[in-house]
Parts: sequence; C-alpha cells; structure tokens
Amino acid sequence: MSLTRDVVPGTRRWRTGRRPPVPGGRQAWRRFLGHPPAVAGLVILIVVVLVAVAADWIAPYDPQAVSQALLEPPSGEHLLGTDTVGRDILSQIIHGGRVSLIVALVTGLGTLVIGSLVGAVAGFYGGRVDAVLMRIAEVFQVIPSFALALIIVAVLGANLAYICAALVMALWPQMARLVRGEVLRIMTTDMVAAARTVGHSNRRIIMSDVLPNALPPLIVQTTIDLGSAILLQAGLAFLGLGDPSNLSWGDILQQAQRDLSAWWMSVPAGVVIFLVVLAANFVGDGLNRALRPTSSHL
Amino acid sequence: MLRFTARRLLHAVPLLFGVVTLMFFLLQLAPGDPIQALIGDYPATPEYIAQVTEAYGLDQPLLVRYWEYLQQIFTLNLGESLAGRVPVADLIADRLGNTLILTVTAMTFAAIVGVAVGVWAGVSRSRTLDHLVTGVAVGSLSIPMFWLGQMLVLIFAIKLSVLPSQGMYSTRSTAEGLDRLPDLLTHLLLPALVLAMREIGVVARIVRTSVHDVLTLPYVETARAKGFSRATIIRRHVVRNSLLPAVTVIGYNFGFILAGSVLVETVFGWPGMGQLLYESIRNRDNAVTIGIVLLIAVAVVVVNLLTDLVYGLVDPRIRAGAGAGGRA
Repeated sequence: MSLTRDVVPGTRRWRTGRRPPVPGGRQAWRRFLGHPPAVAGLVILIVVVLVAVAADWIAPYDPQAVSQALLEPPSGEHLLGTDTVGRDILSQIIHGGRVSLIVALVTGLGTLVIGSLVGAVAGFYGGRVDAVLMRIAEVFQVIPSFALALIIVAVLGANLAYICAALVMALWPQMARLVRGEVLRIMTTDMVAAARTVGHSNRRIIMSDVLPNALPPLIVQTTIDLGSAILLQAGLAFLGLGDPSNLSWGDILQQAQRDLSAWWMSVPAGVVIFLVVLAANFVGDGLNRALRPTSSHL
Repeated sequence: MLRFTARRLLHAVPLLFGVVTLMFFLLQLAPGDPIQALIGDYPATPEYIAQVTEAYGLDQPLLVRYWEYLQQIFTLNLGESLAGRVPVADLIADRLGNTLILTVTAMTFAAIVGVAVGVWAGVSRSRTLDHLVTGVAVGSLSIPMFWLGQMLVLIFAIKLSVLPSQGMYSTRSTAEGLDRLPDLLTHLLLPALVLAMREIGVVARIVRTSVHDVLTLPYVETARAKGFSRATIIRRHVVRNSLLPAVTVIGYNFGFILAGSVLVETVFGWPGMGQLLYESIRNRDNAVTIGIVLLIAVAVVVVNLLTDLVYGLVDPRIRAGAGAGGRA
C-alpha cells in the first residue's frame, strides 16, 4: 500500500480514482454555447434523436400499414398526406429517422475506429508501413465516396449491415489521413521526446500522449462524417439501394420521384434530411471552435 | 517539366492497378453462385453447368482468374450485360457523351459563377456577403443533391411550367442538327445547375480566401504605389492569382460531379451513364454496374493527373517543390 503511494502528497489523486478534468473543458463548453448555429444544431439533433427513440409512441400510424387513402394531400387525418399505397407519410418520416440515425451512428463509429487504427499505425511506424497503408487509402479515396458505397451495396445486397459497411469503406480513408497527420505532428513534440527520455513504452506513449492530443480533430471529423453518412445513405436509398424492411428518408424520396406533383411526399422528407445534415455540420464547426480555438474554421 | 510529368504518371499507374484489383475482389464477394447467376433460374444438366464453368474459367484458382480479369480490363473488355449479352463497353460508350455534356456544362457553370461570387466577396470585404457565401457553401454541402433537383422540377416544371422536367430533347420537337440546341439548353439548365451547386459554394469560398490573401501581398501594394487603378489591380494581379486554386479544386472534384450525375440523371431522366447505372442496379447486372464505377474511378485518376500537370505547367513553384523530393 505504502509502495504505491507517491512520495509527494497530493499527487496520488491524479493517478487513481477519477481522471483529471480536461484542461479548459469548461471554457470549451462555453465557447461552444457562444456560437448560436452550433447550439441550434445541437438542439435539432437532440430533438431528432428523441423522436426516433420514441417513434413507436409518437407516430400516428404504423408506417408500413396500407390504407384506402391513396396519394392524398395533407389533411387533418394524415398531417403530411399519404403515399401511393396509402401509407401515412408523417409516420414514415418519424420511423425513417431511426434508420438514418442508426446508419449514421454505426458508420461514424466504424469510420472512427478503422480510420484511427490505420492512421495511428501509419503515423507511428512510418516508413514502409506508412507508404503501403496510405497507398491503400488512396485507392479507396480515388473512387468518389458515393460511387464506392453504391458499388459495394449493389454487389453485396441492400441491408442495413452492408450499407453501414459500405459507408465505412467510403469514409475511412479521410479519417485515416487526418489521424496520421495528427500523430506525425504530435510525435515531433517535446512532450513525446520527454516521454521517450523517461523510458515510456510505445504503448504508453500512444495511449497517454498521442491519442488524447489527437482527439479534438477526430471528434470534429466524426461529427461531419455523421452528416455525410446520412446524405450518402439517402442517395443510395433514392437509387433503390435502401433496406426494404427498414424504410428511411431516402426511400420516401425514391417513392416521390414517381410522381413529383405529389409535393407532400418530397418536400418534408428532404427538409428533414437537409436540417439534420446541416445540424451535424454546425455542431462539427462549433466543436472545432470549442476544442481547437486557434485553428481556422467556417 | 518532363521529370515532373513522369513522376505524376508513375504515381497514377499503381493507383489504377489498385482500383481494378479492388473491383475484382468486390466481384468475388458477390453473394450466390456465379454459375447460377450466369445460367439464371433454369434447371440445367450437369454437363451444361460444367460447360459454362469452363467457358468462364470459374474452375480456375483465384490468382489465375485475377490475371485474366486484368488482361480483360486492359483490353477494354468489361464483360457483357446480363440482359441481351451486349458488351458493357458498348453500352457505356453510347451514354458517355450525354453524361459529358451534363458534367462539363456543370463544371463550366461552377467555375464561372464560383469565381465571380468569390472575387466579389473577397474584394468587397463586406461581412454580410462573407456570411452569405459561407452560408450557401455550407448549405450546398448539406443538401441532398437529388432532392434539390426534385424541388426545382416541382417549382419550374410542375408549378410554373417554364422548363421541361425530363429527358434531353422534347419528344414533340422535329428540329434537326443545330436547331436542336435551344431545346437541349432548356433541358440542360436545371440538371447542370443542381450538379454545379455544390462546386459553386466550394469554389466561391476558396476564391474568396485566396483573394483575401493576395490582397495583402507586397506586389499588390507595389502596384498600388505605381498608381494603377483598383480595377486594374484586381483584374491583373488579384483575379489571376486566385484562379489557380479554383481550377484545381474543380479538377480534383470532377469525381464528385461524375458520381453526382448518377443521382441527377435519375431525377431528370437524362439519358446518360448515370441512368444506365440506375437500370443496372435494378436488374442486378453487376458487370454493367462495376464497369461504370470502374470508368468513373479511371476518369478521376486521369483528371487528377491532368490537373496536377496543368498546375505544374502554370505554376513553376509546384514543379520545383515536387522536384526537390516533396510529395504534393
């Protein structure tokens, strides 16, 4: 017991128990709140998440239930009208949010994990490993992300798991490049040199010096990736590459394409996609200002 | 310049190789039995199955098939479509021209409008204009492109009926040759605008920033000291130096435009490659789907290469940087 205790009293609490608060965490939060678009974006995202979670209770109808009311404009009974087989559009949008958000979250996490892993390995080991990994990333990057996601889903089949996998494949190279750049930058700092001098292991340097300092841009990029994932998924669904058992906002727009004069099908679904992606970009920009106050932003 | 060109070419070749390899392995991942896919859902005798297997080399080991696939691709043999057994290369060649009309128009549009707005915002230093440009740029990155197309069809074709909503030429038109141009232009306007939207925002922001930067450089000060008028300085010294990043961005974003044209063509019924892709997805015609995506990837590599070369030609600093061992 006495061995683990540090000689200098008071330093122990930094080792055990709760982690030290991020320096400037409170200021960062204040900077975020001081930027109105970011706050608005955050509010929109929270509302959308709540609606998606409570979809079963909020939606007035079963989104898949067909009825006799075919392609009816908005009325008191169906607030946003009905589609060609009489399904309630409002209910479809409420339930569709679930699909879009799940795809966005899974894709965002997957991109973060794969991109960080590849980027950290490339940046830390450098040399041939770096060259090979970055070349592979370049092959994935040279195919436009939408085309890459499209081809993977078209060949493998359109279900949610494959759609998420395809979006991760399309988005990871950018994250890997970002992480690699950050790691390269941090590796040359005095902090890492000091850690090496003291004799810290590679693992410890990566875990306690490199990763925490690389985190802010990663968080920002992940937020932006959430928006990209929603847009890409909507595009896939619009081309008929949506999961047929989990209708999303893009599927509604695909339906709307058959008869564009039924504006109540196309307008609300598109507005919702636009707002959510815009909100994600605003939050990303707000986080960028909050976490990296010296960097350039929108 | 020769060494610079050679270096960029050497960079592009393995990239193309990688893309083809990626496509090959993606095809291998396709679920289901490829032989069954070729024969279709008909009962077949074992002899026939053996015959098909051999004809398509499906009994060969993976590496042998990979080698044959590479040979095929480099002789521009992209396989045959499932429906009608038409060579995929022919199908694509039929549609490529229409897609190029759309994408090149959109790129020109993006360049002209983007540069004009960017220079205006950069020179005027008005905060409102700055905010407006930023707002439009962020908005155009957040809006689903195909939905923007749907909205424009809804407004201009359905509500106002001033522009056509579908196709490339109106079916009732009897005009021939050059007389068809006005008809084509009215059909082209909306899809090209939608396709250009994103790039307009991106280009305007970049030009605005570079105009800001160039205005603070000493040579602008010198020109002012020499007594040149503000308009001359902007035209001769500022715009010229701000154009380069704009051209580069449009070049590097060619892939986005090409991929975006798939969605836009679907919305506007434009008879191009994107529509072919849409049909091939519906028919599960993998040879056509992969052929088109491969072409898009190759086009991106080639256009990036050309952009690099043009940049190097116009701006000697880039060439020198690459020559000194720095990787651009």
